[in-house]
Amino acid sequence: MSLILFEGVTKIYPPYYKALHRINLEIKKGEFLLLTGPTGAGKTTLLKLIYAEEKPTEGEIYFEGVPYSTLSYKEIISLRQQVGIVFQDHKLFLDLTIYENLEVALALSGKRVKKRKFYIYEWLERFGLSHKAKKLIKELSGGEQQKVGLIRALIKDPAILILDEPTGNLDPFSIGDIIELLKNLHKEGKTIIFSTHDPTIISKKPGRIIMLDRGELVTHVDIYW
Amino acid sequence: MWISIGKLELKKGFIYYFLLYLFFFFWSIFTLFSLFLYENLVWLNQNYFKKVGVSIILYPQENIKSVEDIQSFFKKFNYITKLEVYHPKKLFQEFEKDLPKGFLEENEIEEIFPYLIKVNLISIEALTKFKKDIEILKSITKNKLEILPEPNIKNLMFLKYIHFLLTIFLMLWTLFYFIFFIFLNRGLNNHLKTQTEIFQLLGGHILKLKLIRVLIIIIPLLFLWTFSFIFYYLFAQNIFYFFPFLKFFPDLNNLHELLFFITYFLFLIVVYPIFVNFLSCKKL
Repeated sequence: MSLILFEGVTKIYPPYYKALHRINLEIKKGEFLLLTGPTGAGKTTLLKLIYAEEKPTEGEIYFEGVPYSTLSYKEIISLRQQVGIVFQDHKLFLDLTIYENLEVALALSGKRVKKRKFYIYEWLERFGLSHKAKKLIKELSGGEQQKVGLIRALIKDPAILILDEPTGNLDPFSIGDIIELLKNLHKEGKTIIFSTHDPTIISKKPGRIIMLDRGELVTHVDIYW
Repeated sequence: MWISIGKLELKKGFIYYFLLYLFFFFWSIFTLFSLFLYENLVWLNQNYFKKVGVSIILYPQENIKSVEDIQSFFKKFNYITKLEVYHPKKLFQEFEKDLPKGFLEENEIEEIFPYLIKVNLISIEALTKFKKDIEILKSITKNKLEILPEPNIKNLMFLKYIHFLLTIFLMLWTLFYFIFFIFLNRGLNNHLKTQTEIFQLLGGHILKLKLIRVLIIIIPLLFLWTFSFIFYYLFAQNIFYFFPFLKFFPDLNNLHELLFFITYFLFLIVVYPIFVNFLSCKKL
């Protein structure tokens, strides 16, 4: 059974910018999907449709067989709680510290108060940021902010990971580490939807690759390592 | 999470919250004084209008019975609450000390001095009716009747006029609060739009965020209202020193006044902010 299914999905931004055109796509549970394509191809829009930040203009999206159009606001919130998202623009609370940003994410995912501190420091240690836990996000570099964004998505231990250009500001060593980490998570059974136009990552072929161009699905490349 | 988000709200929306607190504090003080003024005007109206006193002088042209007839005629009017008739001799006694001794003979007093009839009317509106009735009376008798001008009636009319204006003002003043609150709430929503979106994208329900926002608004408003009330109370005490006949608002013994005051307090500080805030929920 498909986890997420796109059926003839078109997204038009007012007044008439067509970001996606009749997309038919099936994402299976436990799949590693690499979404690629040039800038403006519609990758971010496709991801936004998955976590319901945007609604399709035409067509339908299904989550575990349930059409998005029938989901209530409460159900959408519950869906987002199951998903870890890394946003292209990080979407961090700039006036809060790293610790507070992660604490909010954990609280919203329902993690118990007592365990939160342990989780936060464990993940910060992993990414070499534990000494900066009390620093405000706006005081961090772009790369550090990206790492915090990534930790925030991972710390919830979500079943689905959506990553929108998560390596844009990172050095090649960090990128390699992150890909390895994602591969391991994938092995644990997590579904990963990864959007990038970084050739180094694509060349590593971590999963099924699909390509978007001017809002249309161009290729399905089923390559697994 | 609650503390972090609350901190973020205050940090990012400080100007808006501060403006709201400042505005509310002065608005509340002014409102309390306006209500105090309003209530006192109502009170003065109620207490003084019931005692609208009118004096009529009567020169009987016929016989003494005509005075008794007029008296019984007045008694038929239900808007007259009190009726007193002063005989010319009684009037003369009051002026006697200023007149030369033996100025008037006993029988001349009734010719020179009139009868004075003092009546209390139920309300200022009754005065118009009373004047009409006096005209009727004049037309059916030969007696000379004249209403003495009452200077305080004009003042009471003015008081009533001010009371009406103050009612309008209080309504507009409350409307001003409503509009300002909506305006600030909208500004705050726009200013904090990004973090509201992030919160929801992370799986946070908008109601949780609104609850934090409402608490940030209501708790300080409660404190500010208390401060403004203390300020008003202390100031009102000074006013009573100079005008002891005024009454304090709210009168704890008056159930209606107390209910109005509680409703006003709850509505403006609790119900309305919650209503405006939750109504402006923008779900993502």
